[in-house]
Amino acid sequence: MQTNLKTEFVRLLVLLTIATSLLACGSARVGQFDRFAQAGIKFTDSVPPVLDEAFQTAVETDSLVLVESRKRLSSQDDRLNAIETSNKNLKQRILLLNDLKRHARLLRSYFLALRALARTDEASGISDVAKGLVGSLETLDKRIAAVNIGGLSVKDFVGESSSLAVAAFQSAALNRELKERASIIDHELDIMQASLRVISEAMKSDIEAQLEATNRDEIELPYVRDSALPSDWNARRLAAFKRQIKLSSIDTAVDAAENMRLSFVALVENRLDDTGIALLLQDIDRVITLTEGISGTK
Amino acid sequence: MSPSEIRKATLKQLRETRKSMMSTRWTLSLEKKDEETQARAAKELLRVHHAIQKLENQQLADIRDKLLENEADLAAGREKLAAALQDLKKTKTVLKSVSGLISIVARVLPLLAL
Repeated sequence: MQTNLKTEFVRLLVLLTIATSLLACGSARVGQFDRFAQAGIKFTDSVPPVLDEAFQTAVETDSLVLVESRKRLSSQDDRLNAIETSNKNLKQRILLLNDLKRHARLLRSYFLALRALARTDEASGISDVAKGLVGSLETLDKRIAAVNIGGLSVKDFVGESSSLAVAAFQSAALNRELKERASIIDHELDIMQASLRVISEAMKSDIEAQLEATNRDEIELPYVRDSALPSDWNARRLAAFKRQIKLSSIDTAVDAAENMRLSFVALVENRLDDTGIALLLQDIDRVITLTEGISGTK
Repeated sequence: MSPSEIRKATLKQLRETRKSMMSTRWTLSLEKKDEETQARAAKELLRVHHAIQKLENQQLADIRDKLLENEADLAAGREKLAAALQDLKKTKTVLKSVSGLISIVARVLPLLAL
């Protein structure tokens, strides 16, 4: 009889150990979701300033072209047609960019919900309450306090295993969500990348037109004409070359979107690690400083 | 070529044209022309620039429409995640209530025994 009891107790201990290990895997998976959601929130926060900068650049280039062509248009009708067409196109641009910003906010709210479920605060809250429950039970029956499971009191064992059980629940809920929405999120990140590519190409073109005009007026025409060169002409020329180099930084928004998508694939395949997230967050940081860099380029 | 590829290729060409019409060489050559030619060149620059704006707006509209298709699913996903979080919170509330009840019972029982 005693031998049977001992065998049963050992079997129970083994089962508890296996269950605890499996539950611990849930914790690691929840951590992956948490990190990805945090990156997603940061990424969607970085998008509206890029869109604002894109619009500002578009207006500046439009003003430049209007002023350029006004010099040679003597007819008031021609000038009026020019500015009316420009205004109409830019007003449509604002509406489109506002739609993109609104959508970025929706995507952000999705990442916020993902992170809220993945955060461990809720888990420790429940494990504390569960421990309190056992404490109350111990007051009812002192024998419970005397029990020991794998070196832990019942209270501490319940605390740890309920924490892991919550992580398993979180992991199951998050994995279910991932299974249901993986293709949508993948498609979403793909389109976000495409939109940022379109925006960055438009910005580059706008800035190139501005730089061309600046180079012409501040460097090349003064050099070509007969009058004396400005005293800071050398410095202007050097600054103009430096501005050309900064143009390549505009692609960082596209790179961040691409990295976001690759991180999502890694999450789906259960291989998203801290290194991948760190690189993604670095890319997103570069986007955040992008708008300051563009102001310095112009 | 697909319509979006044609649009992309056209945009590329228009952007290069606009840039060249802002260049030093173009400006110097225009300065030697009569007023009528200069006015025609100015209108051409505006035509190119406004065509660029329209095509860029079309590109953005296409992307906006694709994102709109995803919105219902994103909102549904957000609600499901929130529901799962509510379940966790309910568990905490239930456990708290049970714990509170047992504490009361534990205090009352010794009094009843007396």
